Amino acid sequence: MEDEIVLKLLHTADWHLGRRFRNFGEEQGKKLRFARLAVLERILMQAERNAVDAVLCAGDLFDEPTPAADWWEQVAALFAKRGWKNRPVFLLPGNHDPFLPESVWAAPHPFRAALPAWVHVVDRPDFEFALPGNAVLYAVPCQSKAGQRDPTASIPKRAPGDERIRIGMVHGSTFDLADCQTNFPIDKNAAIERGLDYLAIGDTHGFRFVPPDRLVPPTIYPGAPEPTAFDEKDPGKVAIVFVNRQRRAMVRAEPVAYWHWEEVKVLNIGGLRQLAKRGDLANRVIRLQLSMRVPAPEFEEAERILDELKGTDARPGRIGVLELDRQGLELEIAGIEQHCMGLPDVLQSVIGRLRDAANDPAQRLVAERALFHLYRTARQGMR
Amino acid sequence: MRFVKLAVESFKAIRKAELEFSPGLNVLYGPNDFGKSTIATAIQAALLVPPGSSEAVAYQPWYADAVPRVALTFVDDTGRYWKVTKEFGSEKSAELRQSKDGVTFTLDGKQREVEEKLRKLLGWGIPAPGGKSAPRGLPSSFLANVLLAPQTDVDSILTASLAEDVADTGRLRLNKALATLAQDPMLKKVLDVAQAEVTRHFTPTGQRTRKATSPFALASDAVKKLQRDLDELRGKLDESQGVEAAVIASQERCAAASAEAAEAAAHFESAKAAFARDGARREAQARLEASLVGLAGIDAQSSRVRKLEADWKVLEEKARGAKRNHEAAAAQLATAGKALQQAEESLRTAKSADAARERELRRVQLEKTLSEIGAKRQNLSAAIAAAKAASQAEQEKNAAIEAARSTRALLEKAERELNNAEVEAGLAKAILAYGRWRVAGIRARDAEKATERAAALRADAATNEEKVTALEADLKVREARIEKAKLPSDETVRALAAAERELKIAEAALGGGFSVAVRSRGQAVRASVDGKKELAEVEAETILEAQRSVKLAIGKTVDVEITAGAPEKRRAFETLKKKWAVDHEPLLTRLGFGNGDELAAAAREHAERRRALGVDRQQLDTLQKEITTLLGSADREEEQAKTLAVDAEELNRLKALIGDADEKILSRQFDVLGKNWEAQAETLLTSRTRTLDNERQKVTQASKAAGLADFKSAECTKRAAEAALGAADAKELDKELSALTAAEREAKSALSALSSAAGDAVQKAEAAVAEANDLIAEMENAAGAARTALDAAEVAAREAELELASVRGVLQTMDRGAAQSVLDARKRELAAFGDSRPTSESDVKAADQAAATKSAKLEEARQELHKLEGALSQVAGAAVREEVMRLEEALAIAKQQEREIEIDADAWKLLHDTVREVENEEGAHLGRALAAPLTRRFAEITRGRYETIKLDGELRTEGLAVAGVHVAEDEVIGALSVGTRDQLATLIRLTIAEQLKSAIVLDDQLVHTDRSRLEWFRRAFIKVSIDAQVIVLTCRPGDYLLESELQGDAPIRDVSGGTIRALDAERLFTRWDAPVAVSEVRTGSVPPPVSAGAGR
Repeated sequence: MEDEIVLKLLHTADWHLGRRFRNFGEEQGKKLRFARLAVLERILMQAERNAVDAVLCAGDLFDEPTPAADWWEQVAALFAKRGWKNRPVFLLPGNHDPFLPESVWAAPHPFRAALPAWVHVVDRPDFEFALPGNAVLYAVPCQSKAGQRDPTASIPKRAPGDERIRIGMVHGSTFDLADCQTNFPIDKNAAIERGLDYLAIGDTHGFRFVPPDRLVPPTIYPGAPEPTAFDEKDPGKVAIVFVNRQRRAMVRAEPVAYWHWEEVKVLNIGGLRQLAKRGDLANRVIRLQLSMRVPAPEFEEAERILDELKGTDARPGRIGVLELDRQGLELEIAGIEQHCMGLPDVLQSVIGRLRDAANDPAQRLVAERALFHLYRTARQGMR
Repeated sequence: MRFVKLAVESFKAIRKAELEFSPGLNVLYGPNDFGKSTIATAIQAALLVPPGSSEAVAYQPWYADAVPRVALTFVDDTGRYWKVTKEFGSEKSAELRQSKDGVTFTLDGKQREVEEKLRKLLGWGIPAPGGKSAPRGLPSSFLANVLLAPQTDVDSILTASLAEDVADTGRLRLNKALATLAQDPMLKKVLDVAQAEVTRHFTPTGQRTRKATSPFALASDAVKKLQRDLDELRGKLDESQGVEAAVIASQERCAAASAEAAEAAAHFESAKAAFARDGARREAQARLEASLVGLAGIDAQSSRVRKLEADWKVLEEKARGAKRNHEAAAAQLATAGKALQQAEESLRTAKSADAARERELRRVQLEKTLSEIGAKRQNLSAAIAAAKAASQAEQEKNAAIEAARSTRALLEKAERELNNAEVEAGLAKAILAYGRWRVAGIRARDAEKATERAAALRADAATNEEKVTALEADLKVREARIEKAKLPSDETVRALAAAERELKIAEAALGGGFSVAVRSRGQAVRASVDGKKELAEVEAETILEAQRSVKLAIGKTVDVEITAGAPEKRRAFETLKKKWAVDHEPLLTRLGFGNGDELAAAAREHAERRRALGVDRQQLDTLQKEITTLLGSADREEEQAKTLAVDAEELNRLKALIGDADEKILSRQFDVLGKNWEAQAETLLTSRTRTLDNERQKVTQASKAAGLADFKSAECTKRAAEAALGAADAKELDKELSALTAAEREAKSALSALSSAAGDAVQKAEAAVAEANDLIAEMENAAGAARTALDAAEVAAREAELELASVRGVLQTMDRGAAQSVLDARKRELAAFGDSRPTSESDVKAADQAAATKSAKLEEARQELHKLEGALSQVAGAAVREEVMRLEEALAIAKQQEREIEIDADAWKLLHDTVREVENEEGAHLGRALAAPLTRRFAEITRGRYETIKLDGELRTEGLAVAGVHVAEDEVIGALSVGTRDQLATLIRLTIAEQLKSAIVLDDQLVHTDRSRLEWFRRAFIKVSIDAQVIVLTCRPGDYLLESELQGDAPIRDVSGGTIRALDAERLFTRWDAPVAVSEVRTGSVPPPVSAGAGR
């Protein structure tokens, strides 16, 4: 059977364990940090479900070369509880966690001792490993945080008569990416040049075929298994690779992420109400940008919905992780007197003064907010 | 605000007085005109009157030329102590000190600053001195009047108005204090919420609160931390980007240099090729010409063969003709011989024997002559033929020599080309060897450098290890020392310090000074003052001056301990002292410290040592990490050195392979080859070796051709020499032949004459014999001629045949078809060169030079890139770039959040301030605020007679309602009795002081008040004095103090369960009209009871 699959691989990269998410605040940031470890369990389950022959982890697995013990201990424990004697796992140092003498990858580091024998660290540029199905893996680690040499250049070319399935694994930026010159640039035709049947690469956080015309042999970025930013295109996946007897590789993207990152712009109270009605907010990381000028009652409603979405000291928020940009939420002060009828004369005079103050551009925001405070406090007083 | 202490000296009637006020109700009593009002004036002077003011003239002592001095200590609303000291008259000085604990004061301001600061502190509506609106003389304002009014001026209180205040500080203060009394519930709610938010976010002075837990501080700290991290990362990013930009620029330079070098190398190769092609073209041209010559030679040889064949055929025909002529002549000669025999027979018959004998002799002679001539002629013909053959041989020799010379030239040329090819091949071989030697050299040098670097790294690691050892030893010693110190926790130290401070404050609060007169009646008395531990023996009669305590030991029977201060303060002090003795002193004693300060200092020092130890331990860790890094780097360098190492023997072997070629040329050639030098050099060597083999074959062929040509030339020369050997001069031979022909004709003529001399018969016979002889001679001549012709023809034919054979032999060695093919090929070869511009040797040299320069540039660029690659491996690259972007985003968000917090807090403040501002401007609440409590109290006093009191926004009494009838403002004064007006004015003042929580001085109030109302006021004063300090100056102490309370011994007494402080002016004041002895009061103590009141 020429089409018979003789080799199955799981290709992942860019775990960035230990990354800090400082634009979300301590508590929310922690959720995202922990998620980076939690997704590993799902990745390994995918490997088991697809009965892959090997797992390729193509770099940037830690966010820095010397992560805190907590991170690498958990990774080691995750592997240790599996008995994958015939399913080797290959861990490749990337540009974030390069192979340095003091790094977690170095031979004397306790992480190495904690790993099962079937987990292999790519710790030399001439790394070669025989895989099932008459296949061989060539992998080249990053040994610094920046470099201008194409790592695939260290992979030997296919020798005449070599009929094995040749798999490559490196970490770096393909030539079409910005700043690639000093970030281990990878020739987009490297797979062809080096005689590889599949080239597993890491660095970009979105799932991507390189080059985009999907020429064979495939060169793939699987992307980060959990997204790390809003602008990442198609993250949260791993690649399942099937290679047939004719050495033709086929790739399927398999989703593994828990968190889904989303940017939402709300232009009116209706949009905000609609967002609040959504039932899928719990595992969403949402960058919510408000751009609306609303009268006091709607402003109050918006504040209430925002409290509901982001949570309070006493109640958890409905959105998993929220980054709120409320600079565009403004109070429409025209006609505010109608909403403040029945207040004592002094407060009516105060409203007039605050309205005047709001005409001064330097004081506008503060005066409008003061009007809203007055409105809300007075309403609470009336209840 | 409340007053703590007042000290007056040389002030109007008072020479000296010192008063300590309690925080509540103080009743200073004394007879009329004793100087109680002077106390009120002194307070006014201390708080309001600048030392240079005209008002100060009135402060001069009545009976002495002394400097009036006043010192007032008070506590402001925030609990801070202030002490103002002023000297009036000639000295004119002012000084303001402040203190947190009322014990230790620090200077806050002097002279003019004092008034400015005081008026700001008081907030009584009095502007700072010196301005346009600044008051002259005694400054006044609504609040100054209310709180410090001089002896009763009831009406001025009832008609006083805030509107008359120059500065609005009094109004603001009242607004603030009274605001909550008269607000709408909604307004109050808004204000309460706003106030709570403002309090949460702002300090009392309106600054954003910066406590560690405040939202501003938290947000600002977050921003600062992010900014700090970002700045740090930006530093790394700049470094990284600098290196990256340099690498990219270097890559571009390298690529450009590579392109230029390749272009220059290509140009050089192209020039070389063009030059070689030109040479080849010239050679092809020469070869073509040579081929043309060769072909022409073959054609000439062919023509010659054809001509020789024709000649030979003609000569053969001629020889056959001559043979036929010779045979015919021989036949005619035989016929003529027979005719002669017949004629001679006839003659013999006709002639006698003698005559006939003579004639016969003659005839024999003539015939012998003719025969000799014939032989000579034959020899001469052979000589002529030999001469012709020699000439022909000479011509052939010359042709052969020319052919040999031409072939030799071709051989020499081939040999030259072979030589060139050998040189080129040698050079190619040397380039290859040189390249291998040079690469090995570079590797060897790199290995040496790596070894040197490894050694340097190990040396650095060793240095660090020494540092580590020293540091570890030092740390052990220091840790042991810290461990040994065993100081209590910081919390204990702080608690101890706080307790000590509390004890000191409590002890200080006891201060006030007193003296103990000791008169011993024989027993030894030992004493210690103010807590000194050791008791010292004192004289029999002595006065002990003390601030807080005196201990006395009288003999061995009595110990007396006297402690100053109010009872509750003493109790507090004792409690604290016991607590100190139990809780803290043992610890201090155990640790060997004299006091808490020493312990705190030791604890600070200890903490500092711990911190320094921590820093050094971090340094130790850093050093150890550095050592690991350095050793790791050294290992890598050594590994690299091993990989690169080349031994000297191998280098020498490679060097020997280069031979004696010029290294400069080799270096240039090597550089030109560039990256794939070895393959190119090998290709070049192969190509040149092939060329060399071709040239060698050519030389072999040319050598063979030259040998053949030489052989032919030698053969021809030999033949020509042989031919020339027997050949005579042809012209001489022709002359000889002509002479021989003439001699033959003469002999024949004589023979003919001889014959005619015999008779007819004889004649006839003789004629016939003669004729026959003639005929025979003719026939013999003809036969001889035919024989000669035949011989000549045969020689010519044989010679022609020989020449033909020789030429044919040469022609047979020539292949015209091949020669034509070669010619065609060479024509094509020449045509293939085209018509390009010729390239000179100097062009090639220039191209070579340019290629070498570009190659050097490329090498330079590569070296630079190599160095930068090293730098690049040390920077953070894309990782830090991404981190900076993330941090920038986080910082923007944090700043936005900070701004949001600020906007929110500022909005609360704006709302709060605006509400207050509107309230103040509308002002109505002030009157409402005061009216309610005032009305209530006034109704109580008047038993409900007056229902409401109205005060306007300026707190002027607007009117009151009496049993439903309204009394207008201008009628109030007239409507009430003097006593009631006094009571109303006092109530207004008291209510305002209560709301302001401020001290109030009431000087001889309520003199027209009946007993029951006085009792009411006494209770009201006590009640008010919970919030505000009330100082009553009165000549009627019985209005406020019980009889028993007036009986105390001390001039200052806390009575009524501590709610009232009674101050006896007679015992506290020293007046100018007092006896001299009394005036000798020592500073810091009050006069002894024996002299008190002497000035009355």
